[in-house]
Amino acid sequence: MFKQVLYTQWKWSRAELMFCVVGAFIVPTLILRVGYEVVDGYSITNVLGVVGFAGMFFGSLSLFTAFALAWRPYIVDMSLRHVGPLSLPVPWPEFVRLRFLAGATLVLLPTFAVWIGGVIATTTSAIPLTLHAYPGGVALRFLTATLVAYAAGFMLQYVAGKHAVRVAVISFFVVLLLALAASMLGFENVIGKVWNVITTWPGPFSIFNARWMLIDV
Amino acid sequence: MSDAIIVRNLSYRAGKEFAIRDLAMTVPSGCVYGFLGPNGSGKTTSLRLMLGMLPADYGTINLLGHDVPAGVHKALAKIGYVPERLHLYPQLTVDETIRYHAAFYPDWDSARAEQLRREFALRAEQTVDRLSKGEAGKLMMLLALAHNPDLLVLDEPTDGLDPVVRRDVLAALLEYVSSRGATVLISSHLIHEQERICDHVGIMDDGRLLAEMPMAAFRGGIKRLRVSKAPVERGALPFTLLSRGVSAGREEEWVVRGWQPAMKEYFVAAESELREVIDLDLEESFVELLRSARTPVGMTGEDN
Repeated sequence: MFKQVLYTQWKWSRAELMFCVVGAFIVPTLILRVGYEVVDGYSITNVLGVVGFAGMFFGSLSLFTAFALAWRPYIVDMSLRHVGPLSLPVPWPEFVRLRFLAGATLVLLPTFAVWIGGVIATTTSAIPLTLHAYPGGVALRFLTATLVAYAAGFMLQYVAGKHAVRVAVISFFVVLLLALAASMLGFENVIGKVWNVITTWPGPFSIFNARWMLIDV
Repeated sequence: MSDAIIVRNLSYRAGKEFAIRDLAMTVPSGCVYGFLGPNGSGKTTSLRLMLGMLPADYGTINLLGHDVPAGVHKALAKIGYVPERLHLYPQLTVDETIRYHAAFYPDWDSARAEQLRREFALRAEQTVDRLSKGEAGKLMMLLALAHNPDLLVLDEPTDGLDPVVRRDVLAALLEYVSSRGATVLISSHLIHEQERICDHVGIMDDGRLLAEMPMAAFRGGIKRLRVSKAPVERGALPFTLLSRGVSAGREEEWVVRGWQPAMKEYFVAAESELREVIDLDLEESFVELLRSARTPVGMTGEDN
């Protein structure tokens, strides 16, 4: 069963996955190459600046991968009113577990690409003596961050259902409007505070706020 | 086990306008049960409730000896289901769709699936979104039959199909039923098609089951009577009067259920004249039953 669920999810998400894989291979090398040409490659501060910019790419790629994998199967099933999964002789929680595991397994593809891409980028770039390459660390961080975001997206849809998605989206915009109104009235930045709570430890998305440094001290 | 499906006191509300009300239904094992009703009468909702796809507000459902929803997935392993609308993943090919379903059914018969694929002339590499309506219908029937189910639940399986495809699909269904002795619950508004294949019928309207009986009783039990000098005071009727209308002069047309030839004595006793007893076909019987349910005449016999 798992093999078939994995295959169907691969087939639905393969375009997005391929985009992530190719991006993970090429973009870090490109950023380092172009960045090194612009800055003084032997200045540690400049190199860390370029690598930090590349780190933003990994965070964005992680979010994109997570939501592509979480949303696509749900959208397909919802368009068919979930009749297919519900008519299969497996309990619904078991089916949801298979779906989740299949998506989580597919995260390994771009993770592997991040690692290989990182290795290529760092081995083809000059690294100042006091700095070191961490392609494995970035890949591990990418895997963890993607799984966290994937789990959040998946849970919102499959576990909570579309009503919860509606509530979450509406709540998001209400909070946004209230925060904007508050800031216009001179109150402190509510959005920034909320953002800090969820993106700093022990917030659920603190992994995204960590250092995504392919080259670091 | 004598009954494949037993439903009792089933209630379900979908929004403000529509509800399944106190549905009680029994599908005997080995029969072909026609679930008839006009569009929007609640057939599809009832089937989904029976298969555990919707949570009932009240009532009990037993499917092949398993209570729903607790044991529904065990029952579903022995059920072939063809939903009203295509439920297959559009990007998968026919072959991939078959393999996907095979993985979930312990009794999947790959040889049978391949045989049906060839019989239905389905190309293995064709994606589901490129299938014609007829091909999609055949693929759904293939998936419903290939795990040798004990019960087939078919929701308008031939609706919108051309006559050739409809014949192929029904032929495969009947061949399977005759060889396996499986039970079939087939929902449709195509009355003439059901007349040919069903041995039991249940008639649904506005979320209620109006009647449930063997096909022979339904086919032979509803008659149109031409009565002259019809009695004003009817007294106790030996049959169920579904409708009554004036046809010409003092002659009236009565549509009755549960008619027996000996009942003509009633008209003799009432000093009326029974001029003709006309057999109704299934469609006419169906329409009269629906009409009487929607506008009851209030002139019925002992069981009404």
